[in-house]
Amino acid sequence: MRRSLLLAAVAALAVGCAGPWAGRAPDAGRASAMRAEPFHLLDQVERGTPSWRASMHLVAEGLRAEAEGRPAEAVERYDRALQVEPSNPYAFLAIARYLAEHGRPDTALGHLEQAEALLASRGTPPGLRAHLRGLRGFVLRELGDRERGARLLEEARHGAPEVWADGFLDAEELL
Amino acid sequence: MAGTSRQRRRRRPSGRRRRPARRGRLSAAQGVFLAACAGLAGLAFVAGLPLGAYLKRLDGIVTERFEGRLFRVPSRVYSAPTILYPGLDLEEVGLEEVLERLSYTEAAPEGGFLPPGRYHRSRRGFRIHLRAFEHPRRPEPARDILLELDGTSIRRIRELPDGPELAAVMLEPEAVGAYYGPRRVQRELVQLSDVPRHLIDAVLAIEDRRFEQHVGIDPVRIVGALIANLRAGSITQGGSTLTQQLVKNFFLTPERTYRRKLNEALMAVIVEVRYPKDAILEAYLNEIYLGQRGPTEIRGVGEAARVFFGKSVRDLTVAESALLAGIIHSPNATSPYRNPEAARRRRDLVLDQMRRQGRIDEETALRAKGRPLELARVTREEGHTRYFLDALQGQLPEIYDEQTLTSDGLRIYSTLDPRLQRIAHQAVREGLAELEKRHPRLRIGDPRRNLQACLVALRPQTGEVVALVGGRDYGQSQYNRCTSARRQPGSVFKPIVYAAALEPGEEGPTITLASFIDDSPLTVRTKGSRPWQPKNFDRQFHGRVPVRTAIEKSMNVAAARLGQEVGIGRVRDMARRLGIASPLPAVPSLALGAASLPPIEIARAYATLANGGIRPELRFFEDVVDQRGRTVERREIAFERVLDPGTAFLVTSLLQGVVERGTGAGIRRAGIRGPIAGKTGTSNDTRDAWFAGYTPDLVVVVWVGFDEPRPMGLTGGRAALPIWIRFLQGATGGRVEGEFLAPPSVVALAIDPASGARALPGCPSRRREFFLPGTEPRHTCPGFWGGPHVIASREPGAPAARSAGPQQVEPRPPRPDRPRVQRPARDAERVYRRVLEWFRRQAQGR
Repeated sequence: MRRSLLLAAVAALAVGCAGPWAGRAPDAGRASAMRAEPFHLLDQVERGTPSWRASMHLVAEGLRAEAEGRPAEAVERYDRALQVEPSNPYAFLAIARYLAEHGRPDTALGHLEQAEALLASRGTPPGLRAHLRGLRGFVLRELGDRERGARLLEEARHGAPEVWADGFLDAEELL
Repeated sequence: MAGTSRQRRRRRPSGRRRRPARRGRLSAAQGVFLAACAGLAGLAFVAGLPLGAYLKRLDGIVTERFEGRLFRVPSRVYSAPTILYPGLDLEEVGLEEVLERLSYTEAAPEGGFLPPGRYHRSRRGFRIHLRAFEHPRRPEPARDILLELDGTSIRRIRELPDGPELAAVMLEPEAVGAYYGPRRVQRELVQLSDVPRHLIDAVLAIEDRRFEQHVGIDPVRIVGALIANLRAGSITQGGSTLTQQLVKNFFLTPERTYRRKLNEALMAVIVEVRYPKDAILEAYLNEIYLGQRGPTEIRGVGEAARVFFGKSVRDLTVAESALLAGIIHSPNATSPYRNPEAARRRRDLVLDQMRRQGRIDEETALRAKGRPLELARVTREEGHTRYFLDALQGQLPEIYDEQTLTSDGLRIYSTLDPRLQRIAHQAVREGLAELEKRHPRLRIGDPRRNLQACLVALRPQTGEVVALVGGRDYGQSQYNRCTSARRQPGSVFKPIVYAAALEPGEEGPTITLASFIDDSPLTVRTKGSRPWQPKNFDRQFHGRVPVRTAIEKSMNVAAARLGQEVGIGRVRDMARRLGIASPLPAVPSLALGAASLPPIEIARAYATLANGGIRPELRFFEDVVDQRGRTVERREIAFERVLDPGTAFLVTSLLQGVVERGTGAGIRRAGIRGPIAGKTGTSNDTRDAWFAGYTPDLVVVVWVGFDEPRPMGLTGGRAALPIWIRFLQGATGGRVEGEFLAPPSVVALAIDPASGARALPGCPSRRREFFLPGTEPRHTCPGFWGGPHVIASREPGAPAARSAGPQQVEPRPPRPDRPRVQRPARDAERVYRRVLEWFRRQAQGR
């Protein structure tokens, strides 16, 4: 009897904890499908061909430069990353993030499309889906499509609450 | 001066008023004396007037130049930087050649120290002391690095002496050209604060030791030179100060006359009176002629330091400064490259003078004299980038006109890959020579009417143009055939038609990759023009052919029929979306490339296909930096999605077939491996030959033809493809990396090639084919149960490939001309449905 009560209490607690999230989810199924291990770009660095690795290192250097307040140097690193490996989706993603943050959502959208297309062919890492969605939501909101933007941002919050809680993807959060 | 005259004029009236009163008191002798004085003064005044006017004119010339633009500096164009990283094959990059072009010199470290701008190859690997690089966005510090090698590849990169392991390092961009004015002069402006004291001392010691004391002319030197010249009976020696030399270079001709010398002296004094010594010295150091680099004059110590020693002027050693100062006197006769012994003697003379004048001590002079010349290798400015430079100029905004580009000393950082550009240039030159050798009829005696070609290569993901050769010889013809010529694309246009047919419209796509096209005689009638009857290159008709065969063999009638079925309006719309900006005629023959297009537009359209339907904006440069180091222009990567990735992939897949089995199979015969898609093109009467193709990371378009169009008797596969192959061989070593990845929206399944139906176990033959979702065949070929079978579509209700009716086609029974795109196994389906229906009725007891 006591054991049953304990189980019931744990269940109630679980439901209670899930409550706020469940209430905010526009599409709970999609959001939970998106929820995955947090994405870290550095996990992708040591995989692949030499040019891929060099390109990924340059993207990582760029993100660090951004995080340390050297945006011009960061953009330069992203450009070089693309010179070494023109089909590196993470370089396009980093540029899209940078452009979105610097008030250029229209240009950011093109880079985001390119990143998504390149990732889609290779298989998007599950943890990255929330970032793609969140970034698209952010860009759409900036472009004036508030409704779709808010929905996508909400989905991103569910997919990666530790990153998207503030509705924003910082440079170091991609690392 | 003007003020003084006015004061005199103002004083004269009062003088005249007093004169009569004085006259009465003067004696006759005094009067004569005074009259003589007045006469002399008047004479002097009259004679002084033109001299004053002359001086005023010279003053105007001097101030206009000094206070206006002192130097015109051609804008330089730089390549994209070379990036080194672990795993990179150094032979493929040609590292030593790159370093030489960047004026790095090979030298052994002394006491473990290797100065910037030097490299050393040893068993440990490649040690390079990279120079610092200034750029508003990408400043790089000087770094001493070691590339540890594994064979010819980099194993790891370490910063010396005990710095971190590096993932990638950048070499400076190479200077690949400049926008020169009428005179080919190149200089790198320096400020006096950047010039080391020992260089100033060296120049003053040998050229003008009393520079700090004189006022533009040095009487002691002049007297000495006069005596020497009188003795010799001609002008053999100059007594020019540094200021006079500057004046001569700026304003006067090099003739040796006393009149010119007088002007020189007067102007030198004016310069000295008007400007401080430092400004004069700085102007001199930037102006002085120091030799030639091919047809280009080297002016100023900044440029000379870069060319001769591969370093910034501020890094020059005492010995190097003395060498530069020594060759000022006679830059060509004492050139350290042509006459190193004479150059060394001059250097040592300068060092001796410096020591005698107390500018350096004995020990420093001796040490400097003991140094070898240590020159950087002078590489000729290469002419093969000229077409690229012209195209880049075309992309710059209008404010960067000829005047600005030839004078403002801008630094333009381009997207050019020097290695690929060199390979492209070589491929065009050698490819055309080979063609003329094999087909002597193509050889024309007049070089201005020669067979021509152009090649453009770009990155589809970023739109960066990495190589461009607009003709076989820029010296002969500056006409850029890649960007300015409008030529018939012929069959290289066909992928646009197939893209329009494969793209799902409201009723689904016109074809799938399992469809068949009718390649039988076709007559198209349009209002106001004669009936059009397209023909195949082999003058035959092939009947019902699979879509893949139709494009792989470049069948014209099948493509024309498809164009009719899709509608020329949709074909034009597709061309626009993919990146064709030139006018496109709304005629049925457009499907076979009846238009006039520059090759670069074809390259852009293929880049959109290669990039999965995202159209990149082409870019020739990244940024433009002015002389103050500010970024004044930037061209960013930009895109637009214009086609769904699935359709773009299907077209790529078709074009891969062209390379595997079709008119582009020469690529495989040449031994090139890896993912390649492409299409040949030949215009009417073989006036234009094309090959447009791409790998996952590179789009390359080659055109061959005569400027005044005339038949070559060669197809694109025979004339343009060999050049394309030469380029790709050089660019990739015959091994193309990467793959064309299908987007998630594409379904791959096995079909029966004979019927286009879905293949199940038991089908006689199978082939993997790609489909957009909902367009997969719904029928199966006869399987193990002995009959065809209809399976449910993945998306019930989704439209299958449709067969649209003809629009402008002659309706004639049995309608052999009717555009017919046949759905796979259509007849079999009809029979099978009847059989199923019969079984159902039997089961229901009807």
